[in-house]
Amino acid sequence: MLAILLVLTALAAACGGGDDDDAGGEPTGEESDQSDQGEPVSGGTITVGLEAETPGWQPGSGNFANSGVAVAYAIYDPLVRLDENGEIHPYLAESIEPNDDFTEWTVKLRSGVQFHDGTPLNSQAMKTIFDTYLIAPGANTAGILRDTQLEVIDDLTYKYVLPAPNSGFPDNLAGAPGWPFSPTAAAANGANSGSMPVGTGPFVFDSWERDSRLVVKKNPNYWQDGLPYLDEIVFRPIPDEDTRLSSLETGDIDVMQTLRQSTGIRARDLDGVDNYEFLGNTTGTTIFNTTKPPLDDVRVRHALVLAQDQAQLIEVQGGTGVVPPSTQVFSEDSPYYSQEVADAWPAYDPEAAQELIDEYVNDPSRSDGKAPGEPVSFRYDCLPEPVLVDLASLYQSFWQEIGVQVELRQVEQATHVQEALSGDFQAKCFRAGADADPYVTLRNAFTLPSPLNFTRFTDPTIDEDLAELAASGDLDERKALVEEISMTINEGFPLSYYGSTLAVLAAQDYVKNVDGWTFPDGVRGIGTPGATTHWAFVWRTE
Amino acid sequence: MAALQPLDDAADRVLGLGVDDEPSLDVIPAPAGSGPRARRRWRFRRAGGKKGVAFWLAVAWLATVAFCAVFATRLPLPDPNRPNVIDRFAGFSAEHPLGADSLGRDQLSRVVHAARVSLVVSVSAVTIGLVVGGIIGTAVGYVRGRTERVVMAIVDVIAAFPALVLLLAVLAFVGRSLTVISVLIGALSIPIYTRVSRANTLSIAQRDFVHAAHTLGAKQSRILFREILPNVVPAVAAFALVAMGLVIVIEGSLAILGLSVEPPDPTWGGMIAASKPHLEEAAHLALVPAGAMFFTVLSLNFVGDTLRRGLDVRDSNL
Amino acid sequence: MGLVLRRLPAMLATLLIVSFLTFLLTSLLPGDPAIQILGADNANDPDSVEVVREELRLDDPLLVRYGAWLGDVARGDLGRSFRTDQQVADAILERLPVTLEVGGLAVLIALLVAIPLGTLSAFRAGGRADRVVTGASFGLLALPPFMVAILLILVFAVTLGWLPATGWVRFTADPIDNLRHAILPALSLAVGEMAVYTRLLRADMITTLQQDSITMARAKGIPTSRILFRHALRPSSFSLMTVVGLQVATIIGGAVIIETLFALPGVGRLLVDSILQRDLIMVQGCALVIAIAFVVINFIVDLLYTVLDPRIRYGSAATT
Repeated sequence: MLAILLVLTALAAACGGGDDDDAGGEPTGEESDQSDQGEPVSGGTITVGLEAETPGWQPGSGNFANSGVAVAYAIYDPLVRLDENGEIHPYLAESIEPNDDFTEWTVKLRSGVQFHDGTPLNSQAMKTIFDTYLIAPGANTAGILRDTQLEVIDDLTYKYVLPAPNSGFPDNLAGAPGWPFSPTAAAANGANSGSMPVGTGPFVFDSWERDSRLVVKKNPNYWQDGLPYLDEIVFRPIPDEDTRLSSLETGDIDVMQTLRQSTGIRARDLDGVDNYEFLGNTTGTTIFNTTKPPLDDVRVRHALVLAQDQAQLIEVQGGTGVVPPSTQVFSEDSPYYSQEVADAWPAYDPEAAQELIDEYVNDPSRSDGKAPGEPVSFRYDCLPEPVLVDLASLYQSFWQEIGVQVELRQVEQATHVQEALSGDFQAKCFRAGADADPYVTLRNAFTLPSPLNFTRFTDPTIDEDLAELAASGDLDERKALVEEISMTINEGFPLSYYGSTLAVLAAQDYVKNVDGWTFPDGVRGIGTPGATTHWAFVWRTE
Repeated sequence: MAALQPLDDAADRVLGLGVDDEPSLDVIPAPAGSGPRARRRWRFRRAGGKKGVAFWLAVAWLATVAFCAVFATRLPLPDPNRPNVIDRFAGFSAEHPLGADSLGRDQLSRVVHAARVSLVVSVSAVTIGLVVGGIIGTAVGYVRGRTERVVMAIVDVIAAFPALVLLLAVLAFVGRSLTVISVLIGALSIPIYTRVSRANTLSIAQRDFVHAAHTLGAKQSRILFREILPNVVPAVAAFALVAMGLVIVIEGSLAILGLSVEPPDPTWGGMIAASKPHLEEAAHLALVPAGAMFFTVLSLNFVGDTLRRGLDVRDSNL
Repeated sequence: MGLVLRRLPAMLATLLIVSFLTFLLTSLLPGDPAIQILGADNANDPDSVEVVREELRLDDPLLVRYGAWLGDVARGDLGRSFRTDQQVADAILERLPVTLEVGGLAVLIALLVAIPLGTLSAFRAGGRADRVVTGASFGLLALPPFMVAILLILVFAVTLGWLPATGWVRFTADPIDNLRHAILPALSLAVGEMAVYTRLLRADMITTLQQDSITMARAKGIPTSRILFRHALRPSSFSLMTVVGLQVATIIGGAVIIETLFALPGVGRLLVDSILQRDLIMVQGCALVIAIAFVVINFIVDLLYTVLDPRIRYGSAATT
């Protein structure tokens, strides 16, 4: 229902499109039960059921949640994406190279690529897009690209000049800032350009009935020979989880997207349906405002974490056996996951929780100014969607067990976000993490004065480590730094986890190769993060 | 209409009955079709309408619900708000006579506790709408003229206003409580009661007995109260009884938008709304509160109907 | 026509007040529209937020903004959506046919069922038929629309496969397919309405059947069915017609749950989404359209009262 729409809009991954690693290790609880892929077949149409509608399709003004990215990858091509090992690899770009200190990134474009309106893709086009749309005041990409410049070197080569070293910069180019669109079309269409996207992608935008269907048709001049296989794709936003699943069951749609654990699991039970599951870096969290008593005292936060049983929290979301408990911002499949950090995260221990909270309660100089012996109390805000209400109620009862009085409050999305930004809260349910480079995610969430640091938690070691992280290109070095940061974060308990997000694309079994996309040079891609894929590589057999 | 022939036959049967010599006030015809085409006697009953088994069942149910609403906390029931995730979706059993919900909380206990909130919200909301709307509508429908135009314009403002905006704004500023929600829903429903009572007043005001009263020199207020109001009340009351059920469901929909009473306190509407993600695996999550609501509203209507038949001096002439 | 002119000032006043109050309240809601537009994650950049706020003139005083909007409306311009940049008027016009078709169909189905059942119920008040109809009415009422919708989808789409589960096809594109997509949503709405209409008609008709005019008709030998449907129905329809009128107008802005479940591009969803995402100008546009619908429909219903009972008059000499 509507509330689901709200929740998913609020909880979508940052910047869309960033990728996560699906490397070597065994995916936990994911299934890829699929039928035989067979040989590619040309032709045909598929209908894809998305979680939500997207208001506009132009990078810089459009907001791309997972449902938006799913469509975007049909019309646009990203300059780069993550490969199956979690490393950035050029896709539309021919190459991307940093300078020594990671302050400049040079991109070489492929020759002969055209936008759907015939405009050639070249450096000048990229510069026009960059200057006119991406860093324009009021653009939603202006923040990430603050003080960044684009310099043309020659017709197919240009570079991004950054204000400070950032080894994770290319990750942004997997998302909206890295999707070239035709500057001529954008200029011609003016305020309506968000409704008529023109990219370089395998499919050309055909028509759009908002909240109903968006149709794209095969691009006959696609720069990858032989692709796409399909003639047409119809994207239909179906905000309600249950009816979206029913639509898959009835065959009204051929592919279904969902980020809700319980829906994904129900999809597994459908006959004739293949499931492509991806456990990403977004995890559900309860965030504590570390500047507001009584949550400004780490003992209280620690106690609250000890008092909760994550297994039950996951059970209530319907994810038992599918979604592993989270202990950090990175999922087990990410190269930045650290077993040490996981082991250090406290397990369910209500007695220890009780001891800690009693310590605070009996402390004469307790931060909330109450008399010793008086119970701790605070307010927990969350969205009104039924599953989250259950989650909040469960939290409340865990904390009640240790004598903490929690008042539950439900707020709709706009107010929820506003309060998180302004710090007008004590505890909230939220999401942390993104399928993006850890530098960006961690810097946004755990440094000040980042407006996105809702917990207002920070530590000098985090700042130092982040600076090093941005300047380092060595994976092992980065992993160690991220581990240290994760450890520092967890020791401060600014947040508590209630399970990762499972992204699922469920497809009728005659739709093939949903997760098998590759880079032009043959390297395998990362699959279906955030329930999105490259539709150029998908075909249908009936 | 040939299809309605049986109706005609039944009607004939009814009308063809002999009437006892005693005055036929306070009578109703015997239910048609419950016997051969024999002559049947009018049956007498005391004022208040025929009170059969159904009536007393309805009364018993309402009494139970009222009792639960008042004494919920004193009853020996498990804590309605205490999650017990192991028992999730438990079916009907000795431990959980009405099953358990998505957090393993006992449904019987929740449905009983929910009675108080749901009843308070629905009764007060409907009462506000009924009383305020009913009076305004009747008065305005009788008086007509400029007053009518101005008042109806104001009422239209309430009707046409996007309710969600009002709810969000008021709840954001005033805070959320049972009182506020009941008053808001009540206020938002004033237009419909106003219009319905006005509509009926317009019709009744044309009747001969009203004209007669007027001619006889009765004061306007007397006509309003003695002639018009008693005839408007049944129609508006019928809507009010239906509206009680509607308000319970509406409250549930509001819960989905975060506009209702705060969790974890249960309400029938909230329980129904929360059952949606689990309809397939655990239908009893929806059926239990829906059932409670169904029986309550049905009982209210039965009782209301029977009482009405007692108050009505005249019976059906058909 | 004199009637319209006399009512016009009141109607316009209503529209003005509704639009002003809407403007006022939505502006006061917590939650910054600029942040909704940029996306929470992009609130990272206070400069962008500033720029967007300036573009949308969100910091101008309330009355100035309202006055500007009013001026635009007078020229026929409802503005551009904050979120989508689409013309508000276009967005609403795209969606109105969907909502009207589903809502209209729902009311039609509900009336087709409610009129015979309500009549039967009133005629046999207290009898078995009445009890059955009453029980069924409240049974249907106890099922909230979303439950009915899901049940219908389960039966007709998933199990039987006769109808699609979700989605919409325009009437102009394919009339048959359009109806196939409209039936289940309309039924979901109709089920609840049926119950209300039946009860209303029943109540009014019981009153009507007590009148002497009915005895007269009987005495004249007119068959029962004719009495019921030709003589009794009309004067009993006051409540029904009033509520139907209000319902139709309400559906335009209020069928959001059904529209979301069935993924229909309707006005209800547009309004609610816009409110929740603080797309203030779209909210204004939708609220205005809905208010117009209310005012017009109520006016028509008022006129129709005179059809039901010609003794009712409108105009200056309207006293008993």
